[in-house]
Amino acid sequence: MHRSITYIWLIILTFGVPIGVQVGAFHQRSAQQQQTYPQPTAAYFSEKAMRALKQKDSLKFRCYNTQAMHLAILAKDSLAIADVLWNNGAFYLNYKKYDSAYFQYQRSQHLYQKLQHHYYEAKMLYNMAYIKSKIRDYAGSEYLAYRAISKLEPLQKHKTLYHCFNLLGVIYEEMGQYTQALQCLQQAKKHLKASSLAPQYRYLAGLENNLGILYQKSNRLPKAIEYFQRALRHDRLIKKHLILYIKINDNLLYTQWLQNKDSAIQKPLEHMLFLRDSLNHQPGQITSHLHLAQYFLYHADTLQAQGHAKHALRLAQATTLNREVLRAYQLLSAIEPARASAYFKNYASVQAQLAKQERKVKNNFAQIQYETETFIAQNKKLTDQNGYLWSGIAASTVIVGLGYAINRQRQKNKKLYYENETHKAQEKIHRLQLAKMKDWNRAKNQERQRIAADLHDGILSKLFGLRLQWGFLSIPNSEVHNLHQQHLSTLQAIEKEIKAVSYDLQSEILQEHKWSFPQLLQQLITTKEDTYRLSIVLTIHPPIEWTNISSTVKMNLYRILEEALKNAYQHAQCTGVRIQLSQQHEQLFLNFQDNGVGLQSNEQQGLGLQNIKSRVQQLQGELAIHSSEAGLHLHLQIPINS
Amino acid sequence: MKTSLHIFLVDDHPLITAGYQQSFQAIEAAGQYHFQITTAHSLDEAVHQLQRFSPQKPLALLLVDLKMPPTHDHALHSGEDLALLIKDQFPEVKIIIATTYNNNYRIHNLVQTLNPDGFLVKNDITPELIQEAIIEVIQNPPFYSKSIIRSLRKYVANDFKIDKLDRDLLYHLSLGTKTKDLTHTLPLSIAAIERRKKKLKELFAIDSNTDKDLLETAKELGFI
Repeated sequence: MHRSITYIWLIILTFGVPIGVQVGAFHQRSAQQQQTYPQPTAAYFSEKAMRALKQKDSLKFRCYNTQAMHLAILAKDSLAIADVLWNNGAFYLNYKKYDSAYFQYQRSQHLYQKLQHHYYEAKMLYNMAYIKSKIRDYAGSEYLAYRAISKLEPLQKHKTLYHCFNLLGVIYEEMGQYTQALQCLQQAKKHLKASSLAPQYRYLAGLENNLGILYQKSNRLPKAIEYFQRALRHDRLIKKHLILYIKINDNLLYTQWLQNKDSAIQKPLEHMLFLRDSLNHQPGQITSHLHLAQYFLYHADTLQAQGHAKHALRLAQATTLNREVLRAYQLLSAIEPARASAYFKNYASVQAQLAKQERKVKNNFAQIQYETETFIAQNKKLTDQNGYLWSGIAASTVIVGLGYAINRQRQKNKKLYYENETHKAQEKIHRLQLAKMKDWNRAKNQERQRIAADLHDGILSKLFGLRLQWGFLSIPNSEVHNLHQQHLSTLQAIEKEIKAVSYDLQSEILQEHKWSFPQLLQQLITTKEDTYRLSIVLTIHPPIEWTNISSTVKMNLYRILEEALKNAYQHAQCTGVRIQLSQQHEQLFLNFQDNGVGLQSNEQQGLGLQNIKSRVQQLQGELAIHSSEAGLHLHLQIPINS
Repeated sequence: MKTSLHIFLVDDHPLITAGYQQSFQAIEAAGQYHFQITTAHSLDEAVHQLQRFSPQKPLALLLVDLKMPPTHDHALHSGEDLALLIKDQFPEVKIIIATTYNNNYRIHNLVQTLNPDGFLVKNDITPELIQEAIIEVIQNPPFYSKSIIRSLRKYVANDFKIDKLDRDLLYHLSLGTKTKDLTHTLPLSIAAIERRKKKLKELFAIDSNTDKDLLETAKELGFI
């Protein structure tokens, strides 16, 4: 209880560490962790967790690693998550929780695979292979180790390659395939020499020891002795790695004894046991006891042999090294043939137990494997579905986009078409207007002519006849006669007036027949003056011979004036407009000036002006727009026969 | 001894012929002349009445209106046609035109083609004037009423500069005929017409391109 409180304090203190603390690079995993941490990150906690793991402080480790995992997930940092999983794997491996460790390593491996981080992925594969070898799934271990090697070789990671080949050597040794084991160990040796693994002599010694054991097992004892001796030649080994030194020495002695059963090795073996006892190195103690038991058995000293064997059995049972237990039972049954059956029973039960344990672990692994595969399959399925979904979305987006583009284009075409149609319709309207005007004029003229003729031929003549006859009436009274004469001259004056009226009617007919376009313009101006409340002054000077001007020009001129007036009314806020039309040679000039506010600079050019522009372009004329505070001034020049 | 004269009065309004008749009667009353008066109120009727006259019974005086509906066979279109026809039959006939027109061009043309002995604008006519005109035409032709004289004077003043074709051109333009159509009625090309128009404008001192101004001036000057 007290301890955990202290740890909590520690955690709090850790959180209180000033930001930007430089962390030492003893965490060998990645260079990226050598940077400063502006704030506690997953990597920072992962680092701390590793330190705790080395100190075998499980509580601290769990605290830090959980924190690291939390932050990594928050940051959606797969690399950090893989790192934390690795920590977990290492942690479980320390406690020999092989299945859990394997599970963590496997998840980490999947992440590294996804991230295309081949080196770390290979490391995870090695770890997994190591665990599989521990549970004696040699085939699985072999497979994983080779996968790791295939990833490592292109990267030239000699250190890890050494570990892999060493592992493979051990596996093949266990499987009894000594030649393959030898090959692997030779490979391991090659990579070890190329690697920077320090201290190299220690690993080399270990490797040579393994090679020796291999030769020993394959019954090539001189070769084995040679390797053991070579291993022992590394000085400093005895000082720095005493356990290994003892182990090799012990192996050498045992092998020498195997080669020559009469050689005196009792003292050196007992010395080794003494050293191991003093170091309290239990596996070593067991080996020593077993070797001594064999030695004494050979020399028929059953009591001594039995003592060492029982000692080994006790120690093996205490440390649950079941394989050593089995060997102890084997020896005991040989030492005490009388009790052989009892020992054998024990041996069988231990073996069964061992097998059961192994099966259980293997089952666990199978389950992990199955779950992982299912998970991967599901993931793949989801990814596939996601893929379908995304491709579906992309396809529909493309279709929608295309549809939109096509639709837009179509609308544009439609707009152009309608604009064109509107233009045509306007032209038609204008023609109709002109025709109507002509008809109207003709009817008007006919009526005028009729009235003129009636006045002239009928009324005037009758009046004249009447007056003439009246003049011949004899009026006796001179006073009445004068009055009579007066009335007659009045009648004569009336006749004259009627005649004048009749003449005027007819002469107007002539004129109107010819000047119908200005009339149309005048009508337009009168209408617009009314509707727009503008005062419009139209002057046509010098006079224009309208009959020589094509109806297209006239029509467009009419429309241009209409647009200009509309523009003046809608945008310019003007009160007066001055329009001047003139013709010089083959050019028609239009000056249009209003007294409004002119074009506003921020205002985009109105549709009206655009229309005018396009019409002028159509007529191959020129348009100058001059805008000032005094108003808008349009100057047009149009060839009369465009 | 009273001079007996055959008189033919043609006007589509009976009121007017009645008025003329009264004029003749008034002159008769003076005692010098005896008039045998025939009247007609249409050209058709006039043609029919014409049969009354013969070289033995010659027509002395025709008083005719210019504007009358044409004959049914369209042989005669106006009083002018009738006058020409009668003059053809009776070369000695005296002709008085009484018209409501005071169209310069028409008057001028009539003077040239028909050369009437009397030419009256109806509006000028009063009982006194017509009696004077009749007597003058019989005794000492011609007699033109004041409006006719005024019109002719204007016309003649410019006559030396403008030929017949110019007049025709102006006349047709005033009727509203387009320049391009004029080639069908006048023996002129478009270019010739344009040249004539330009010449006329220079003559009338017109500083503009349009026919309108030309026609207005021409009218003022009495060519139309």
